[in-house]
Amino acid sequence: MSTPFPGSLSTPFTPPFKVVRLYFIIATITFVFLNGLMLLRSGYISGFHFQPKLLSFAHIAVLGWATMIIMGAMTQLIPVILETSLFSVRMAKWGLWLYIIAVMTITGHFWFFATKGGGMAMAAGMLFVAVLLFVINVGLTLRKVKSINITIAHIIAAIVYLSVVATMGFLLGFNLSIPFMKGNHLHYLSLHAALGFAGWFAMIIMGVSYKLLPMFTLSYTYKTWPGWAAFSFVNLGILGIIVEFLTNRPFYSTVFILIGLIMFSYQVILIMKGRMRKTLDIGLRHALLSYVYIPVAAILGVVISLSNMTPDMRQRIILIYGFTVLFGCITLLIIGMMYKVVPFLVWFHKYSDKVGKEKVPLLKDMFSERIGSIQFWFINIGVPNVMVGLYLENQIIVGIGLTIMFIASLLFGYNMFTVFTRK
Amino acid sequence: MLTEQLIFTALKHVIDPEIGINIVDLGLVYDVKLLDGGDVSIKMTMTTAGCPLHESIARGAEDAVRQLEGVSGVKVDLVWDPPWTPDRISDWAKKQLGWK
Repeated sequence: MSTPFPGSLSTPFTPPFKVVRLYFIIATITFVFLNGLMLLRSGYISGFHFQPKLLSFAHIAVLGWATMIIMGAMTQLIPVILETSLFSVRMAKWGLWLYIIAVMTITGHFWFFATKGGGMAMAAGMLFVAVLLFVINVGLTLRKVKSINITIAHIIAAIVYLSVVATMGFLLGFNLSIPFMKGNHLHYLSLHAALGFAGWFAMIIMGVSYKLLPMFTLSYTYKTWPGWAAFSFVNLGILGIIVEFLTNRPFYSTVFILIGLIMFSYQVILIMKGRMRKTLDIGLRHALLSYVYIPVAAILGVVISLSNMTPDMRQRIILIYGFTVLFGCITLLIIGMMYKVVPFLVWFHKYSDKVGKEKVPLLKDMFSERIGSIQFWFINIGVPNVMVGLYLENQIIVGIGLTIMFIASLLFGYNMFTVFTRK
Repeated sequence: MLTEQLIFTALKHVIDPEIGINIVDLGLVYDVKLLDGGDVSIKMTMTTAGCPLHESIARGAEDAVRQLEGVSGVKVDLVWDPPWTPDRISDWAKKQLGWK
């Protein structure tokens, strides 16, 4: 038994509040915009996955929402974990603006599939530079690490995968403008997406969970070997994806990833079993629901890679898989962690000097828990609703699900607005 | 009249904003000593080493006690030995945390 994961969120080493706040605010606006856009253009969420509007939806989700939040959280969290200063606050600030412009440009180019004239290549290049600035900033901060714990190991792996995914994204974007790649563009795209999901996002979700979950639940004594086993299996699976890509031979990579994510689920169960805080607040309820979707997504990954299906069914499962990863696994965890982290950051900025002198709000008082609960159920109904609609290829069911999700995004946006504008 | 009991009562007004429970019922206050001349010495800890709330909670404890009549000075020592364990949580606080 050990007590390795608990920690903290803000120390004298953390970057200025206004820099980190920017990441969270812009990402939240993007999330509401994305849900609105998907609802208005729900008809495009069907059929073959390599089509302009779907590419645009997917990149708004992964870049404008998920990766933006993760970048903000890492800018805040890594100095805390390492007890050191961020390498460059200026790089984080200007890198973010470049990133925002790049994401808007590339998703716009995807939407209209504007591949002529070199605009797509320029957008891809800009995005690559913005991601590279983030990777360099985090990498040079990580250089100060004294010992590798489970969270640091995951973050290092995630940063490496992000670099590879960004490089591939740049090359793919360039290839759409000025074709130079040999072979099928989709072959490269599948590796880009697989490394993004299993490498960048899975590593971040797992590593950050090992840090934040024990901290928020007051869990101190549990075995940690399943976490390391999960790390090993998922990375073995990613290695397998690369081998499969290079050799075109099956390596059963998705099975290794599935085993890894089951081990991750087991680690989460151990942490939750040992928790002192039995009551689950709104943030933890979201996070736990996302942990339910993770093995579901992993099973879908195995089904896609190993089973013989009709092309039509295969296409449906790919859409359901992408939707589950983006909105079941990643979005739910991000929303859950934002309900914990954002109120804390604002509270620390506004009230930490007032403790003991006057009555200060609790973190849960910084937003409406009632609205949060309603939003939780809306998203809880909306996500499976869309999944069923995609499976049945029923646009009405998909539309209903997206309407429910859009309402959920508005409620979430309202709650975050309440936190950020608190006097 | 200033007593150690009164100091503990004042410390109960310092609440961990994430957990929503005061530092006394969380078992974070190890020792309170009322010294000559109204000086107060407090030995306390945190649930987690390196907690961001170190500074604000320790300073909050100091400010809460300083407001008591008869207190001339307050010294807060943050200690990690013995480490905090959940056994230190009061029965009332355990109920608040959802323990049956």
